[in-house]
Amino acid sequence: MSTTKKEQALEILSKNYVGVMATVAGDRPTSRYMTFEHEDFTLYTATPRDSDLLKELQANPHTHILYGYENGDMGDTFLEIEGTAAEFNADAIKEKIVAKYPYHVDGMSMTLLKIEPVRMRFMNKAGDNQEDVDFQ
Amino acid sequence: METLREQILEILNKQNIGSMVTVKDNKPNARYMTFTNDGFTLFAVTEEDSSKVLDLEKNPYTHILYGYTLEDVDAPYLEIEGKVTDFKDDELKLKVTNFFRSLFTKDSSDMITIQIEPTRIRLMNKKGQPPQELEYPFS
Repeated sequence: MSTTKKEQALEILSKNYVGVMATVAGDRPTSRYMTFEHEDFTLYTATPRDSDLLKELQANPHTHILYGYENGDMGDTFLEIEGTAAEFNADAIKEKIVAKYPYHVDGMSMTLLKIEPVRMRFMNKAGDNQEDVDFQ
Repeated sequence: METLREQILEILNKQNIGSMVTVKDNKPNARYMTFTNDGFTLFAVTEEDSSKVLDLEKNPYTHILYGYTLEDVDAPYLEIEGKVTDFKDDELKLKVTNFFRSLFTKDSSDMITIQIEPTRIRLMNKKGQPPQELEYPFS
């Protein structure tokens, strides 16, 4: 069963690339849409070096991501990912992201973020059917 | 030509799903919610003992991304900073409760409604334009 859950979670990660990434700025919540790459259950994304997001994560690395869900289709299963994010330098992955979303990096100095999940759950409509994914 | 205020109200009136973030134990906590609105004021229902309410009693600040579809990634959406406030107006409460009753099939007696007053609203993603901020107060 757990293998199936892992496969389902990986399928969601592979099919989608946009997620809502929430962080804490001071004592206030904040969020933005981000595009992600993944290797197994580790997520990668890019952000400008002078971005608020990078400053927020340096002060508080906790992040919460809603991954794989479309407005207007409440029946869709999506992943809720709790994790920690940190700057990461791996040129191969960076090139991959830059190649995929060139308009994000035009004229900007970007840095790569690596997000290690701590907890991952399947969710759907109105928070029903919450199920943990054993991704370790 | 539509004013920024009108464009924002149009998104609030037409769409009803947003991602809502709160802070719990210094960690962000996000979930999708169904909203209804009265002008710029937002309402959402939750189960009374749910983590949302527990979060908001300690820290009333919330951040909402409102109105966006993956089918059209260039569609405009709203970025809303807000604060959860008391919910007292009985007439409005009835209207809002009836709206949510039509959405949820389960018993709504154990659900409570939270009211969110935006403090900052920005219109995002309007054909590559930079975010446009509506001046506060909104009404």
